[in-house]
Amino acid sequence: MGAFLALGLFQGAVYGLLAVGIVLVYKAKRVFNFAQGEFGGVAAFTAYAIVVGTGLPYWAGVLGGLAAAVATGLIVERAIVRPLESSSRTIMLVALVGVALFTIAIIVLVGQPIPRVMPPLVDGGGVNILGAGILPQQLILMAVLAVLAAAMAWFFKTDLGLAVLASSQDTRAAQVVGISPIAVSRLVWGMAALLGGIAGLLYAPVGIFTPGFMTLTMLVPAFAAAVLGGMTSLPGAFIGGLAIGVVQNLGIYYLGQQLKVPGAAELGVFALLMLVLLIRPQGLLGGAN
Amino acid sequence: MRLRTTLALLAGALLVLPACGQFDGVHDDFLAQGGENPGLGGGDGTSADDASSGADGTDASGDGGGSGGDNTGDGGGGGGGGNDNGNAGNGDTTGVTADTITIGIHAPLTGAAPLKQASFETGKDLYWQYGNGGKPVVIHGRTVETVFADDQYRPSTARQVCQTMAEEQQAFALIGAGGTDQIQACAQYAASEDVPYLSTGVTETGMGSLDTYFAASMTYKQQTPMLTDYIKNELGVTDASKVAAVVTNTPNFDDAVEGFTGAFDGVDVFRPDKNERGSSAAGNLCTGTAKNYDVVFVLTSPTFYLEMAAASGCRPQFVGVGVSMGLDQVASTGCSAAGSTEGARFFNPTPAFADAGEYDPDFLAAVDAAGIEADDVTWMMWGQSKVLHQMLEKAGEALDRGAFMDAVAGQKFSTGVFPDLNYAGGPFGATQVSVLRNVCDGGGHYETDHAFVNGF
Repeated sequence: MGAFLALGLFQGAVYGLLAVGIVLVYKAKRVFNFAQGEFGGVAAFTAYAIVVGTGLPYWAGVLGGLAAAVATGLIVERAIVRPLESSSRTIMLVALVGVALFTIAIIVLVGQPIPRVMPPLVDGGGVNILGAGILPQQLILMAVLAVLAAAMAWFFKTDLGLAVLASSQDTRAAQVVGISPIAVSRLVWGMAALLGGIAGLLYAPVGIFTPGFMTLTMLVPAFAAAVLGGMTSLPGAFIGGLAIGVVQNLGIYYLGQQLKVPGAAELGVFALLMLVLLIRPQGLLGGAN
Repeated sequence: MRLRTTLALLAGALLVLPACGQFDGVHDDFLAQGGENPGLGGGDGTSADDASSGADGTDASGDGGGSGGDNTGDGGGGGGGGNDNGNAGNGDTTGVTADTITIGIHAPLTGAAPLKQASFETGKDLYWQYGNGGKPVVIHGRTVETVFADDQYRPSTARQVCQTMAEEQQAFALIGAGGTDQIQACAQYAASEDVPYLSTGVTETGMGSLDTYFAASMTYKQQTPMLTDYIKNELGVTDASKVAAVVTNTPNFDDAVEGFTGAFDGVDVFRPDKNERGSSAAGNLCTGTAKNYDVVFVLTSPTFYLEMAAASGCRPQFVGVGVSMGLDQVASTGCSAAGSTEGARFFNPTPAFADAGEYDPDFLAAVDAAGIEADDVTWMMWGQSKVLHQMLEKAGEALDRGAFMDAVAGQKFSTGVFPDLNYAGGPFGATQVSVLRNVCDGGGHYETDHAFVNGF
């Protein structure tokens, strides 16, 4: 059981990292970013192409992957988000789902839908944590998640972060005091893409990645983590991610393996989500509206 | 608040929907079926030792030779009985013209177990275009054309593309290249429309009663008792507590589990859902870097297996049956994840691609003639095409779907690439497997440990 707990924590770290990006966009723009996972996909495939395909150093792959993710985020912001700024949230949501599917299609076209393995940032054998063999890469992932969640929470207390919040609450009033909504929009989408890219780069060496791996396997739990955390709370997204990962894996162990309940992982998460929202509708760390 | 509630409900629905299973309605029709295919004719024939007769006749009089002849090179299987009236045609000549026969092939190019598109594009026509000493194969005056469709690793899509190939693209027969649920779905459609259907052996659940279905390799249920013998006698692990099975929780794998546990009582069986991560399953196999099990039988999607292997720091010995695990792409990916699959052994319809020249030199000659870069998918399709060639040859010149099925049922075929086949007892006619070993030296690939064995 301990092994499932540990595996859940480290799996939850990826959900948390994606959830932090989702919350960042929602907090700043009130948009549900269904393209968040593919920022990670773009970063992972670009880094793989650079490191494995061309044999360039790892740092070049990381930089290239992050640059590709941020570029994708800025393109999405300019080509999709900004023209639809005044549209309904439903239209924006559908458009971002379209962005995710389009990006997956491009990756399939360029990279073929075959499984790949990214070399880890740090080599080395697994560390025994509660019976699970945890790789150094996973420890890095956990540390980065904690640092980024804290950094993002701090960011919204800075002048720049307050400008982002002001712009999200009343664009016209923010403009009056000299805050450019376009600059804010670029900043938010660039940061969200950067966070997604970091998630993709850190996760790709842990498992096997295929086109769409972030969206198809990570995005829904990440959204659940964001909701669980309160949707506007960055530390909440961090904690929500870890909670989702742990509950998924304990669900597999207890419900799936002991009680033979099908769909145990999803059932556990759904139960947790419903329970938290019934008791605390604003989420674990969300403020009451 | 309203927004948050809406979002919560949306997230909840998205979480629950995958748990419902993505393959709606595919299994339900099959579960209660099973049974044996009595065959459509023949059945009393005996194998002909002389495989060189070429079978140019237009009927099956019962003592014809195999299909070898000019095109297949290495002789065919024995002639079966056939019926006294020759092959009983039904007049359905869909896909057959005076000059050509059209064959439809489906396989997953996208989804959870994708195969390389380039391999299919080059491999689907290789045998038919170059299998006759570098020239096109001619069967009773006709050449073979192929159409291909991606089933996206989804049964509903498989059924749809099979229908399109059979009805709109006029495919005479259909071939399933991989994916249990997809093969089952397409076989069901094919049987409902009397379209001949050939695939590698997968589940037996609901397949035995399909009149138009023929498995070209051993089914999972047939292979798993052999696998237990392999574990005990070749790997030397006889203690059931040291053996685990990780098999995806789909009804189509139940027969494989029954076959395995029936022959190896007391092994631990884990049945992860399709949506679970392979890395979670590793929690069962290892405690840190210590092995909980020496041998792990895997029957999952390749990506699940690769994730599980990568996350299993204790490196247990993986073994398995089927087709997709035996692909070099899987070996290569597993090897690049810190050699996590090194030494894994999988039963396979064919010997390893690395040894193809040893088992069928015509394959390499055809590859040279075509000027393509071949791989194990190409090799697999070559073998399956060769089986179909022998079947078409035996069906005679007056080819229709009825004549084809009449000519195949109860008969024997031998290609030297796929296992020897004998459909006297029904559609599951193979009795041999090859054992491939994952070797990580040289980029990660499979090599042949045993070829065409029927016991350990």
